[in-house]
Amino acid sequence: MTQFKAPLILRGEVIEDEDCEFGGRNPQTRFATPDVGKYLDRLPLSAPSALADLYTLSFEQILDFLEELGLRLAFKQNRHLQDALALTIRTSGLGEQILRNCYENLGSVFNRKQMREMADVLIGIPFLEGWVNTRSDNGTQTFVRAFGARSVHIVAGNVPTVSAITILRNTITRSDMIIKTPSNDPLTAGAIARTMIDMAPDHPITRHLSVAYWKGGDARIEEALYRPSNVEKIVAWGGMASISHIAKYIQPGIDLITLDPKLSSTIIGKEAFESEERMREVARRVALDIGVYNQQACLNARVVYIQTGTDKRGIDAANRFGRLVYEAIQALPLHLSNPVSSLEPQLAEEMEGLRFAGDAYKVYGGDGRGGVIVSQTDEQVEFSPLLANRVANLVPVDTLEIPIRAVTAYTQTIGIYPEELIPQIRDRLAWHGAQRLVTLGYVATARTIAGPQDGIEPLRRMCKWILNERHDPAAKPFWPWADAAPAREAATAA
Amino acid sequence: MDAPLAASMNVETLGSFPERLIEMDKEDMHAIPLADQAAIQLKGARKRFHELRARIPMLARLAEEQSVTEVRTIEDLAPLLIPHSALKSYPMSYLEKSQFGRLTQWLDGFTTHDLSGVDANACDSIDDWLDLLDAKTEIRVMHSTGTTGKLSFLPRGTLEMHRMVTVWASKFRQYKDEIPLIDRPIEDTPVLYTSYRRGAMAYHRLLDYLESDLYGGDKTKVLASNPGRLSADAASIGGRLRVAESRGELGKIHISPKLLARRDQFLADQKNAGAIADKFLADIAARYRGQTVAVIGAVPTIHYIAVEGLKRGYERLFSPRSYLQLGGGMKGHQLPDDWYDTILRFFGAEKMVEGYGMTELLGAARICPGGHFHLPPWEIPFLLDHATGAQLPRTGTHKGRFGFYDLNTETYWGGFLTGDEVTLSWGDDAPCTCGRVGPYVHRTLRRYAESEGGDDKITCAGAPDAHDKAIEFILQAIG
Repeated sequence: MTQFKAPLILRGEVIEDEDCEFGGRNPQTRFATPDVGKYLDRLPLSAPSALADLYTLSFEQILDFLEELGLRLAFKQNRHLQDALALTIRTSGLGEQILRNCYENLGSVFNRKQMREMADVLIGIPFLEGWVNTRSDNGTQTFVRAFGARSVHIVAGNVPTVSAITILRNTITRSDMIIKTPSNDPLTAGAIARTMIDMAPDHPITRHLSVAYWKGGDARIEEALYRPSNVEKIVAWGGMASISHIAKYIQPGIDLITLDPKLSSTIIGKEAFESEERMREVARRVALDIGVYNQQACLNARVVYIQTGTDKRGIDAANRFGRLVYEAIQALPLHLSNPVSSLEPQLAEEMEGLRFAGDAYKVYGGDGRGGVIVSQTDEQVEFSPLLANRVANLVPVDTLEIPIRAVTAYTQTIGIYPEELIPQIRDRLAWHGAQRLVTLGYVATARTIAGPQDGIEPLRRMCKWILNERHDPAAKPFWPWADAAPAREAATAA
Repeated sequence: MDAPLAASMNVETLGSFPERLIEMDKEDMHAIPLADQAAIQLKGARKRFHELRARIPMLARLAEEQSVTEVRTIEDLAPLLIPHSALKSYPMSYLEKSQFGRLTQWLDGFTTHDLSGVDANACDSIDDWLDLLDAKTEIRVMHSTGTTGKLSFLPRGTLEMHRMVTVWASKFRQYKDEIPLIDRPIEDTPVLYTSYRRGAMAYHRLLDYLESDLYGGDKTKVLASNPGRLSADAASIGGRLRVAESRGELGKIHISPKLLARRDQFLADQKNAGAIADKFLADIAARYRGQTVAVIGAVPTIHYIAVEGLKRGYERLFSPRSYLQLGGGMKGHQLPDDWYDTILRFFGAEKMVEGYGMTELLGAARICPGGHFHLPPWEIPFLLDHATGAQLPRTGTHKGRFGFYDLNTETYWGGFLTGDEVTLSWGDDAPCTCGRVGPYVHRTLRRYAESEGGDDKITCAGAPDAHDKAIEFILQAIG
């Protein structure tokens, strides 16, 4: 029986009390933590001016720090990450090879070129570094600067990279951060924080990072913490599950940024089915979009619309394509995707039921190796939100109107084929709610961090945007009283 | 050691007519030696398979897929268990687009009754369709609530409905010197149900048959807190709304004109909830105060009636020997911590009686003094490895996925595979202290679909939850 420890990281200090135990039903996923309630007085950054030390650092110095952090996150030398992997192997839906791959690449999140690009594209480095003169007009000048805030991040645990990206984003904005970890990954954020402590325990960046686990919804902690006097921004992943706990604390003075749970889909135009050779190539691309990270992420394809037509010929093509996609999923390399011992229980039950549906669906595979459900009409299975473990639903359609109208505010990524189709339909997809449109086959492997997420720009929202206006009374006289303005008087006297 | 079976109820007869097991005296039934139980079950199952295979298309297809041509051993039945999700395997569009002809065709695959002559194309609501099947056929479909709006439909026949009453009544008979569940004959004991009297969920169907078979049509013996009907359509739309809301497609829900036309009823029900509860409480108090009654219902509805009753000053209304059966699971509802005490305080029963059962079974097993759920000999248990589906040994004690074959069914296939993780003792090496012979289920059971990996698991994939707002939505939709 393994018992993990998820210490509380409090501004550079590692607290390893074992007051509480949390985790899953499986004893191998349980972990001990300190009672965060005991440290509540120290958790928030109570004096906002204590952010000042982050302003003694230049942007380049911040990058220096993060770049070195990235080097120290080398998996083979980093015991903290190794511990985190040992637990996430048991709590995550990802196989060991994928997870190992994620951890081995965690350091590359802190690639200098990428970090600079992210800061510059999403915020603008000058706004982070100082007051930027944004407007000069006839005696009026405006200056804007992006300031950090005191923030709490409630992070998702399905992919460990989320913790690294969260720390990166927050540090770039010069914010103070408290990370509330999820029960399915209570260790990764802490492992990064401990790496910082090993590297530079007194550095301002280390001192502005706390990592804690408490059970989401624990009023004893959340009532005390989520107050405008303690926190200005809450960034929450996970939709209703986590938001419902937070919603009651939202009030003027606290800005809530939600990164809702999302689902993604695929639209494949008729061109894909013009030759068997093309079908095979497209099938492999779809398999990538479905299978990378074992379909655990929001960006993975679940429902795949294929414009094969719905007459007999079309359905035959759809079924042939279904087989090709299934075979391509089986051929995905193990560091990207792996079979699991069994499907998620709810999905497994739905898959069992499909055998009794008469002729409404054709199923290839359907066990822990993944599966492809080919609808024999233009309707998706109603349990599509449960699709996981590399099981996708192919839906043959006559017209692209069907997939376009199926897009909603919960649709994140849409992989599209052929490329020429994208400009034709992208505005309509956006109006319906889609948030990211990608060349088929690239939804997960070539994702840029220098872009918006889920239709919002979280980095900009994490900043406090401060405006400074200067007005020259000589150029822009404003004096509502009857007597003469002093400036003008002075001018006359001279 | 075990007494031999009575002459009229020997292994041979019971194997040929396994439906007669339910007529047995409780002591005799639970005393059948294990080897005899196995022999009766194998013979009975063989007979059922032989008779039903050609008459139930889904069974024929399953048997062919699994290459089962004959039931030689009990183990041969395992691949023929129908997963419970099969009962909702029809495409959702059948409900959404009111394709009740196709739904009938699908259902036809699960029953020996010929539904091909039923023209359901004119139906425009599930309630309509259920009424049509009731009127034209010998099946009494039971539906579930379905969290996604897709309802499960089990085509139980009238034949099995009558047997269900026998099974219900038999659980109240005394076993040896154990204190029976109630202190008066069940035939004289009124049943109180804390929800709609009419409808097509398992309880509604049972109540209909209790009224006719057990109480000879005496309507005062079956009292429900609401005389109206639980609409299958409302139940389905509630689930569809949850799904639609989670997909941001609320505007796309189609509601049949007939259902819209029932808005007055829904409105009246909503407005009169207090008055309806008043009447029910006054009624049961006037008729049965101080008497032994049998109360059944889902935890939230029983709790609601208890709260309303206490508000009106009723306390410990019935005899402490009353029977209290709470259905639908003890977890997952949002009730105050003292919900259980509130229920006992109002009804006056000493305790609730735990049970383990499901719609697919004719009756639920009640807990014995040894703390176990004993399976009656007509219920053949199966235990499968959850991941591989392989059968676990039929001896000792094991944990796995629970399946069963109910020998009482003759118009549909009685073999089902649940989604429950169950610890089962086969009764061979560790007999229960209560003295019953045969397999028993331990109290530590759970649904596989319950969340794994902690309840504070956050991922970026998925869709948000929403709440059941069916009636409100219908009312809004029709302004």
